[in-house]
Amino acid sequence: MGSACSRKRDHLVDEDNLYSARFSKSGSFKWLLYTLPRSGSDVHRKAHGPGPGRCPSLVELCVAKVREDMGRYSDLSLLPRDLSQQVFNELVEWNSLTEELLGAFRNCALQDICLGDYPGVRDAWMEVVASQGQSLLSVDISCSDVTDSGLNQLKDCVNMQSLACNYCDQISDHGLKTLSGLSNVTSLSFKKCAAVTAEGAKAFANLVNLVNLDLERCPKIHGGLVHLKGLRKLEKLNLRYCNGITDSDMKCLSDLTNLRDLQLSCCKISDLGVSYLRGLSKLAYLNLEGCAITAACLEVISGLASLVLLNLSRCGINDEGCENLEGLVKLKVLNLGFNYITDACLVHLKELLDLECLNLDSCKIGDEGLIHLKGLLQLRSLELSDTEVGSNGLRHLSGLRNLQSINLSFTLVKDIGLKKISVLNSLRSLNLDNRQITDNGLASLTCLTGLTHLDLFGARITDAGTNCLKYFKNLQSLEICGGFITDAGVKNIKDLKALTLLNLSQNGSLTDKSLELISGLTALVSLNVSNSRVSNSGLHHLKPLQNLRSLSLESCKVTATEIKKLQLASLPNLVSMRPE
Amino acid sequence: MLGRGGEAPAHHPPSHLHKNDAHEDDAPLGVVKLISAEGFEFVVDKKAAMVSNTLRNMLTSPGGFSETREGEVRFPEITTSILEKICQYFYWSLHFSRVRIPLGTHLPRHGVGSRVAGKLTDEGVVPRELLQRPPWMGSGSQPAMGTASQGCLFADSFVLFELVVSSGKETAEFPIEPEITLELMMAANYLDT
Repeated sequence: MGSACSRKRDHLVDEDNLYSARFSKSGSFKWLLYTLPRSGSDVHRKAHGPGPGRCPSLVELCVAKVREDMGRYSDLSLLPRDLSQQVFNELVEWNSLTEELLGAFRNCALQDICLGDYPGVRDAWMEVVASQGQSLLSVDISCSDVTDSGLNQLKDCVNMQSLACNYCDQISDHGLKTLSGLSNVTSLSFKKCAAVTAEGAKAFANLVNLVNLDLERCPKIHGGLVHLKGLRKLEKLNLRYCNGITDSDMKCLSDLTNLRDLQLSCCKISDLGVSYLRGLSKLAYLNLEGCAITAACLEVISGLASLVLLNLSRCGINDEGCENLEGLVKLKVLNLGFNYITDACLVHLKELLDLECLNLDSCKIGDEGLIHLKGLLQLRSLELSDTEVGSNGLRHLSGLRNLQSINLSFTLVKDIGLKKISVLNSLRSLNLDNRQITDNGLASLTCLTGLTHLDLFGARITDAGTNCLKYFKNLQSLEICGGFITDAGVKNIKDLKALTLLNLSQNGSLTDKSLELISGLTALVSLNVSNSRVSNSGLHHLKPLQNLRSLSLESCKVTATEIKKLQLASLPNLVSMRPE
Repeated sequence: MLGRGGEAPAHHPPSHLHKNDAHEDDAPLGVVKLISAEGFEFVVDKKAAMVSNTLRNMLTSPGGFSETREGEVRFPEITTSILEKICQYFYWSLHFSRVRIPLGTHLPRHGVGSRVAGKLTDEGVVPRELLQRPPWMGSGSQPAMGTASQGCLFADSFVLFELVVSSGKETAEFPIEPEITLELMMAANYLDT
């Protein structure tokens, strides 16, 4: 059979994953990785899981078997590449790969070595990684202890297309020189890497095929962007939280005319820095959150006609200059949260008919301004938290039939206003964390049967009000923490079987009886009954909650020891416990 | 090893199977013969064989493969023990997927040749369970035997189905012996199953 067996390359690197939460873990959480499967194996789920799942293929069963017996194998180089790749991935997924077992993969011509966040990865592993030679297309050694010499072993892997070394704090600017020979790399990720300096970044200049570059949180990057000037294929550049980036650095980006996605949150740039973006006509995603810019730079931004997403949150923008937003008719996502804008700004949004997500959190807007949102019929998400919007303003939103999510927490909205949004049948997520909302308001929403997320954290909902919850059978998350719920109210929650998150904290009258009622909510992943009368003797009711990962019972008659016992005996998935 | 499949005519399915074969374009009826490197023949339901995507392509491609016409597929690179394990997997997979196996509709009348199977067992190739005669044959009827040179082994659906369900579990794990895992994995990969 030999190479005839190699049909496909199954596990191409998902570029989006390079930028996902996977790398959000810091090294200090590595301990968690030892205790949990990385993502659970398909074979395991399918072969042993409940219900009539898909039948595992024989190849999958064999791969799982090899993983179980991996100690028997010292050399897998004679296996077809796609099989050794599957075995490798399986071992990684199950946290079963060790330095000793890795040796079996020497010269296996693997294409993908994804060891990001994997515990124990160090220079000694890199010899086997590098032995894949010209077959190697992607490597992820994020969060590892690999040093310059380990990275240098990759110098002959010249076909590499993707390399991620996020949070590798042992790599220096000297080590980055290895990269200059890897000119086929299209995706490079060095988050929070002190090696990316004006000197270290020189290595980037040779990477002329680079399409994605992620340098988030690199603290010493100032002066380094000059080496990106020739990277004309660059489409995606992440410089979030690089607080060394200043206006002078921005000048180096002005010729990168293929840029489509530019992330600049919390960089030290001003309107001058933004002015260098004027020619980036393909820019579709621009994130300037937390930059010290003013509305004056909106003139430059208004020329970026391809913009689909614009994040100006926490920029300190006021109304003056906001008229420049009018031309950005392709915008689908606009974040103006935490700015000084008023209703006068909203008039400039009314022609942005493609808008799907609008964030006005903590802006100085009120009822009058919402009239300008009336025609934004594509809106799916509207954030009005901490604004002066009241009940009257909500009448302007009644026609937004595509609205799936609205946040009205800490607004002036009262019960009577909720009737206006009760016609929004598409609503899935509703935040009414607001002391002025009571049982009456909730009663007017019972036709919103599609709700999956309901936040009534601070609302004054009583046991009587919980009768309405039976209309929300699809609820996946529910928070009612106003202090008025007793065990009687929890009876109306016990049948919400889809719940994965339940927060009943601050309801001081709840007893162990509530835990008993909750025990049937077996989908629960997170449960909070803090500040209640729940006690150690009620904990046994939680045993059926096998999916529970987070349990908070602060300020109850519950001891850390007893929770720990419960975890060890019955709740293996529990990773976050309070008290602990 | 026992005889080579190519040296002597293999077992001919009962005539009613030929009738079924006439409709094979419409539905996966009938059986197909899978021949190992050593020449052993495994006759399995087409429905079971088509758990393998490779075999499915061969058996369903209109006018393409000669296998479609002859009802047999040779695997010169798959040994008998591996091919047998694969056949077991086909039936395990069918059971797992809760596809009803048409028991008794076209079970071969010749069963497992005892001499052949005995020898195979001595070599540790065939699980003991596979040698049990299916109950439907009755205690008095001796299964007809193929000659040793034919090396004709029937892995009929009834016996294998019993093998799967006899574990008493709803979905018993499919056992894979460590000694054959790599070879089995390569063959399974080739057969896309």
